[in-house]
Amino acid sequence: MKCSLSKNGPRNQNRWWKCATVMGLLLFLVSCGTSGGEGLGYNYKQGVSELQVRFINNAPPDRIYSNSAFKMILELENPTAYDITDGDLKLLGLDDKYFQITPLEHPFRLLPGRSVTNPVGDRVFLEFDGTALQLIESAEEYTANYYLKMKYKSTSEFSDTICINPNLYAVYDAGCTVEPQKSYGGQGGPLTVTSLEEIISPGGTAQLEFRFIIENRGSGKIEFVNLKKARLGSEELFCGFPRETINKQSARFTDEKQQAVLICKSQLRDQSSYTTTLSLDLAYDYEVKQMQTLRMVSSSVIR
Amino acid sequence: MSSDTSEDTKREKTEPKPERRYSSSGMMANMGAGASTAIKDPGLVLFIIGLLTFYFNESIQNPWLSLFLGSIFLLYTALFIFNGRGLVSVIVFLVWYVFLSGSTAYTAVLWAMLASLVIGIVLKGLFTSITKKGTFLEGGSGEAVAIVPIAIFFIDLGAVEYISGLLHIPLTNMPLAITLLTFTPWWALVGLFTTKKENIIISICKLLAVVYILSMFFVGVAPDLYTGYQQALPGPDALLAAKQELQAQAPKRENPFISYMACALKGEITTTNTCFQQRQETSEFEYACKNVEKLQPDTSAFAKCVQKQRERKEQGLLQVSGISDPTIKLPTKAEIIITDYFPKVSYRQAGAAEPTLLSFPADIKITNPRQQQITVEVSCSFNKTTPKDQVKGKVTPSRLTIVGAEEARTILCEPDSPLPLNGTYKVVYEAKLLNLASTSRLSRAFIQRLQNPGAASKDLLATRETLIRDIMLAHFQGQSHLSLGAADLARINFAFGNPLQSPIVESGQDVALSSSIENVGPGMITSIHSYAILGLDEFTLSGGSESCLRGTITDIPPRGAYAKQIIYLPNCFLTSPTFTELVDPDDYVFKEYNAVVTYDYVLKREADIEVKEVLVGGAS
Repeated sequence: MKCSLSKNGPRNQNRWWKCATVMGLLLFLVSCGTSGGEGLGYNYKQGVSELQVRFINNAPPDRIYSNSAFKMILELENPTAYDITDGDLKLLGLDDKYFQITPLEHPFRLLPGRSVTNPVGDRVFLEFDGTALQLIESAEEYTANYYLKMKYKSTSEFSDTICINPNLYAVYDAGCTVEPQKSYGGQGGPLTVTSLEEIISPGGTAQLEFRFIIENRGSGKIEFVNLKKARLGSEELFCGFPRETINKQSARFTDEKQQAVLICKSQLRDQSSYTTTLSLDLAYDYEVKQMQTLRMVSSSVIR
Repeated sequence: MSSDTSEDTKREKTEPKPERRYSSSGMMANMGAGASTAIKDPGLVLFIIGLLTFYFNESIQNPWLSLFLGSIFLLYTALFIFNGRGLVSVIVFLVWYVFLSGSTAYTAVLWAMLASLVIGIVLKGLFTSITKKGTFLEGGSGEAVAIVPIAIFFIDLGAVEYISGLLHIPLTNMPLAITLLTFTPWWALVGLFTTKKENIIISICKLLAVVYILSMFFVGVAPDLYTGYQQALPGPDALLAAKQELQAQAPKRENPFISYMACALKGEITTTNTCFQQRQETSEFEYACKNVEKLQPDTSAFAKCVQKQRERKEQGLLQVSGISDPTIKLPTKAEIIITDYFPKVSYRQAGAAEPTLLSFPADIKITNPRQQQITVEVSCSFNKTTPKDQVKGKVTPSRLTIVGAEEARTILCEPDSPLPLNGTYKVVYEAKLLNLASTSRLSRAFIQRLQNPGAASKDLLATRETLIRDIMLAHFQGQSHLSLGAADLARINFAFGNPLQSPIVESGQDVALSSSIENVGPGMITSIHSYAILGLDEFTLSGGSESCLRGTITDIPPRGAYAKQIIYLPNCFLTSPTFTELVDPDDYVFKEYNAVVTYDYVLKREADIEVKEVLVGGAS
C-alpha cells in the first residue's frame, strides 16, 4: 500500500487515512510490548522465591493504646512460579490477657503463582480483629512478641535439556557433549534442584543414572517432598529417594538437613548421542514462621 | 622516672642559672615532676595507701568515701605517677563526671572522655606553643595517658557491678564480677606496678599480684557480660548505689585467693574444687554468725548458728529471684527527708519558768503512682549516745493518709518529756506505711508433653528443640524468665517450672512452685498481710500445702546488717494442666501469671541535733 499523498482527490485522501491508522496501531502495539525479560518468553521457573507475608501499613499500628480495638491486615503475595494450596496462617504466642485476636487461625485455599497471564503472582489479604486489653497497674507499655506461622502446599518443576551419549569412545561423534555435573540456581520456588549428576554405564544395554540434589533454599522448612513425575523425553524414569525406607517416592526433610538426594535410572536403547529433556515434578508442604511484635502503650501516657 | 625530670637535671647541671627552666611538656608536667620529686616514690605511696584504704573501706563500706578516695587517687595518679601528663584531661573529666554528675549514654561518655582528652591536649599544646617551650604536638602528646587512670577510676568505682545490675544477672552467676569487685585493690596495683623501688620484696609483691589476678580469673568463671551490650552509663551516684546494693547482696566470704592457697597447701585442689567451695561457704556462714548474729566464735551457740546457716542455705536452693519490671517506670517509693529548715543547733533558755518548745521538722515524701490509699504512722525519739539515753518524741501529725500520685507532707517531732533536752542527740524518725500492695508477673510457655522421650525419634526431638529455641527467642531473652515486679519497697518473686528456672512447661507435667518476698527498699518489712499467686486455678496441687499459693506471714525475719531481707514462702508441687488446644506439637501457649503481696513497711531516718542552753542575758 502506497501511502504517498497525491493530488488525486478523495480516493487518495481515504488511502492516506488508512495508512495513518495502520501506522498508529503498529505504534500502539510496539509501545504496549513487554519490558525487560518478563514478557511472553520470560521463564518464571528460575531463581528462588517464596510466599511473601507483610502487614499493611498501620494495621496493626506501631503503638496500640490499651483498651482499644485495632485491625491486623496481612498481605500474602505469591511470587513463586507455582500455585500455593491448602494454606493456613496462625498467630502463635500472644497472651490473651493482653491481646485478644479473632480469628487466631486463617486458612486460604489457593494463591496462584506467577505465570504468563499473571506475571506478578496473586495476592490475598487476611484480616484479623484485635482488642488491646489492660496493662498491669502503672505499667507504661507491654511488648508482645509472637509468631506468624504459615503452612501450605506447593509444587516445583525441574526441566533441562541434557545430552545422552552412551558411546564414550566415539570421540569423533559430531553429536552433543555430555556434561557429567550441572548446577542450578533455582526453579522459581523455595524447593530447588541444585545439582544434577549424569552417570552413564556404557555397554550393550547402557545404563543411565541421574542423581539430583534437591534442597530447600527458602527461609521456612519442608517436611515432605513427594516425587510426582520424572521423565526423560517422553519416557518415564524409575526414581527413588535412597535414604527412605518405607516410601521411596517421598523424602522427609529434617530440621537439620533440608535436602535430599533423588536417584533416577533408565536403560538406553540408542547408541548414538542425542539431546533430550529431563524433567521432574515435585510436590511439598512448606512451613514458615515469622516473628512479629505488638506494642501496647498506656492510654494515659502522652507521647 | 621521666625523661623530663632527667632533662631538667641535666640542664640544671649544664646551665647554672639562678632561675629554674621548665621543660617543654608544660607547666602541669613540671608541677607533677616537681611534686613527684617531693614524693620520692609515688608508686610505693599509692601502693601502701591504696592497700590500706582498700582494707578500711571494705570494712567501713561507705560508697561516698569510695568516690572521694577514687577521685583523690585519680588526681594523684595523674599528678605523681604520670608526672602531670594527662592531668588537664583528668581534671576536665573529673569535673564533668563527679561535680556535674554527668550521667548519659555510653557513646556520649566515650565522646566525653575523648572530649576531655582533646581539651587537655589542646590546652596543653597551646600553652606549650604560646610560651614557646616547645611545639604544640610536644605539649599535647603526653595527655593521652589520661585514659589509663580514668579507666581504673571507673573499674574501681563499680562499673562492672552496675552493668551486672542492669543485666539482672544473679550474683551466683557472676563470681568473677564479685571477686573482682570485692577483692581487688585496683589503685594499690597501679602503685605497685609503677613503683621505682626495686628490691626482692617489691618483686615478690608484683609476682603475687600477677598470681592474685590470675587466680581471680581462675577461681571465677568469666561471664559473657559485655557482648552486644548497650545501656546508659551511670553517674557516680548510680555506680555507687549499684556497688552498695551488690555488696549488700554478696555473701561475705573469705578472700578466694586465701581459700585457694589453703586448699593448695593441703593438696586438695581438684577439678571439682570441693575444698575451695567448702571453705568459701563456711567463711560465709561464720561471717553471718559473728557479725550479724553477734556470736562469739568457738562457742556452742556459734557452732549451732553455722549449722543453721548451712541448713538454711540448703533449703534456700529453691529460692527464686525476680527483677524490676522495666515497663513500670514509676514504682511506689517513700522517704523521710531532712530539709534545709531542720535546726541542727537549737537553743533553750536556761532557768525559764516554762520549758522552751523545740520542734524538729522532716518531710515524708511518697511516690504513689498506683494511687493506693496509704496510711502512714509516724513516731520519733531523741537518742543520746553518751550517756546513753532516749527521750520519747511526739509527732504532729502522727497519722497521715496518702492517696495522691506524689505527696510530700511535713511532720514535726517534739520531745515528749518533762526533762529538757541538753547536748547532742540523734532524732530518729520512724514512718510505718500500712497495707502497701505490690504485684509481680511471670511468663511461662506451655508445650505438649513428650510421652516417651527415650523412644522419640531424632526428627521429633530436633523439631522440639527448634520449637523451644523459637519460644526462647521470642519470649525469654535475657532474664525475662524471672518474675518481674515494680521496684517498689518490696516485691514478691515467684517461679514455677521443672526445673524452676525453666520457662517452658510441658502440659501435664509436675512443676515446683517457689516464691519469696524481697525487700528492695531501704527500710524493713514488718508484716505480710497477704500474698497470693494468681491464675493457677487450672493447676492441681500434687505436693505441699495450699499455703504456697496464698496466705499470710506473721513471723518476719529481721533485716540483717549485710543481707537483704528476704521472706521465703512455702514451696509446693503442682501438676500443670493438659491443654486441649495443643493438638499440633509444633505449637505452644504463652501465658502470664500474677502474684500480689500486701505488707507493712517501716522507714527510718536519723539526724544529729545539738541543744544548747542559753542564759538569760545572752551568754551561752
